[in-house]
Amino acid sequence: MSAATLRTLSRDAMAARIAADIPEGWVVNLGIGAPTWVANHVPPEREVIFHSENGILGVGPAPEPSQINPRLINAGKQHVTLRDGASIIGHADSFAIIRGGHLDLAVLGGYEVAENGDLANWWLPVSAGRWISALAPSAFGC
Amino acid sequence: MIDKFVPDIPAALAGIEDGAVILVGGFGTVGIPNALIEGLVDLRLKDLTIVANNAGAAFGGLPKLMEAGAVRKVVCSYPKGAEKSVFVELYRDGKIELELVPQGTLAERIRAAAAGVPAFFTRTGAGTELTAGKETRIINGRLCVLEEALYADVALLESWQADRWGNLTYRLSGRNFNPVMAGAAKITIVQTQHAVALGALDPDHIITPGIFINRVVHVPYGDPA
Repeated sequence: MSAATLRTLSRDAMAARIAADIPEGWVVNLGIGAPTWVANHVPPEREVIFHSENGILGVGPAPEPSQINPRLINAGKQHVTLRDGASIIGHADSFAIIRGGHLDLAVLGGYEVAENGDLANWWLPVSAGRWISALAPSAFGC
Repeated sequence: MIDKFVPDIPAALAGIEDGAVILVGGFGTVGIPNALIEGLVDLRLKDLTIVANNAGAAFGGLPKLMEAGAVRKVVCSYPKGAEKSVFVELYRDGKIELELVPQGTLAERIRAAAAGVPAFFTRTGAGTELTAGKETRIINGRLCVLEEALYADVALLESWQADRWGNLTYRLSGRNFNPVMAGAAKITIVQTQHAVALGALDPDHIITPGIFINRVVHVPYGDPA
């Protein structure tokens, strides 16, 4: 299927579609950007453990304004909540989870995707009008 | 009596020299030792190498340090943010060096330095442009690349609570790179939100033991921006 024939979904609809496929009990890393929305679409009775690379296991949905804790953010620097059973870890442990094969799934955001699946997540200008594309930390950290 | 508390920021930062390699804790806006970074700006240092995960971001104290011309090189995993930053402009203009390190490799290179492990093999980045020129080896049938420990002169951390021995706790997402950086440099300096009496911290709840810490300064700054 060529890119031109792909149906366009909103970020929220993409997140809901991905969340629908995640089985109970899975440990799932959410990359920065649109993937963080997936945590808003898993019903609390389906126990999925969302991992954020900055050291959270058990990320819950986005907080109501009154629930915001300024010291609790996900890898995309957005405020999040913790679900019951959540734990906090440092970066050495967080990437031991990723590299040690303890995740069931990682959901990555894409800036550019090639037909062969090559992925870039962000870009950086290297001179006026030129830039390099690269993978987000949780992507090339896997 | 062991007492690692120092009275103020200049005392905490005493002895840091031009050309120092400095580890800076924090991820996003949380857990960054901003008072210590702003103290570095006042020292008017040159040619610093800053190792900080979000070194390219527009928030926190690091943009001020870069704006002051104190930074020659940045080592990080993610050199930009949602907003335009001082780093991105300096990099575009060729005025600052960048060493891009995958985030797990960055944490492990720092951990290795603190743990006395000179180097380690990892699969991440092996065979890609990112690790060009580094030694590789096939281990258990997979291509791995040799990554060296990242030794530093100074580590700047932020903690939630500290006692006079330098025992530390962190709060929520403020933990991030702070514990792994403790002890990875010749001198580890902490700014703490709360100063507590020796014995007040439950030994089971101390995340970083004080033996990794050299100086602590009490900076009750409130919530991160």
